[in-house]
Amino acid sequence: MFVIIVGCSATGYHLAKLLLVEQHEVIVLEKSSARAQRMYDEMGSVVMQGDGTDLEDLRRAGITRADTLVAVTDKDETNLVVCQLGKHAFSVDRTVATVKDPKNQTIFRVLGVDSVVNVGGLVLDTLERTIVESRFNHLANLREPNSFLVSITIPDDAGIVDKSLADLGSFQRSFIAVVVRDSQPLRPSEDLVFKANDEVFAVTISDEETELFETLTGV
Amino acid sequence: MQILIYGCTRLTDALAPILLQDGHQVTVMDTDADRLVILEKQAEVNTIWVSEPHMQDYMLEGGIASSDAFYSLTDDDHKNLLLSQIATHIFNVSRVMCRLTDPRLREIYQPLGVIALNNGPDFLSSAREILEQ
Repeated sequence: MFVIIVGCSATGYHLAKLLLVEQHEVIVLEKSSARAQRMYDEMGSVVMQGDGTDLEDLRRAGITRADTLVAVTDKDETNLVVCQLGKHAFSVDRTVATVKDPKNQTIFRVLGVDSVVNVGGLVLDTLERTIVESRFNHLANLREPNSFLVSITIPDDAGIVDKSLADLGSFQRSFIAVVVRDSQPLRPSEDLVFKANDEVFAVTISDEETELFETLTGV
Repeated sequence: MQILIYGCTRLTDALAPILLQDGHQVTVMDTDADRLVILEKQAEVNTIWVSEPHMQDYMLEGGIASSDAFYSLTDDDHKNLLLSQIATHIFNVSRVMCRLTDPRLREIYQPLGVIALNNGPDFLSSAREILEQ
């Protein structure tokens, strides 16, 4: 796949690297010449100095044969214009943009941007979950929406201590991935008995997270 | 008519008094509080100081939902395009004008229904024209 990325901020930079590892053809357009030069020194000719809202610069980047145009500058309004130019001036198959203001997601969709990644909203969700909802450690967001890898240390007074994995009750979508005791990873078999200070790694979803937390730590 | 203007620039300084003279009600929003104060001294407009993002919330505060016309007159073409398209497609304002300094952008956005204003000598007359439609 040939992808043009407009904007070489942290997002654009890391996205370009990921796509290159996966063997895609990539061009990154960066407006600032100083930044473009730095990135060029590191990544080579995949980086071009140019303005993603300038038709000539887009053409130089090869827009006419691009499969996907990704706009990840730090301004929502610029990302919108990049995608609209891609669609209406060059009929690019797929346009993707990030938005910082969650409320801009709707207008981007209405105006025909194919995929809108609500960066502001994702950060908010993650912050909120970290601060309010759960006292689990959130280790990773898994690909499936709303599903995460979490960890928790079993407290001394938890009701689950000396009970087995079978006593955990039934969760539809949550399960224990591994239990670490005295630095040794233990396979989560049915007859595994929980001890205080066990570090439990689990996969869970937002709807079941609170219940799982209560079960593992409740007195 | 009730008119909302986003962007307090020299164009706004020129346009707002004329709209008032024509008997319209004018609200001006901008991120620059000093410019709003200067405009308030010259013309009887309502002003709203905005702190971006959350532009849609501020547009609602400025009465976009009941406005008959919306002008996006900031110095930034891209911002004007975002704001004017929000006014048209989210808030269904019937008369929307967008300041565009880049003629190439004007060419692309005209077929998309964006009505562009330029900085030329006919700015005031074309800005008033749309209100008569």
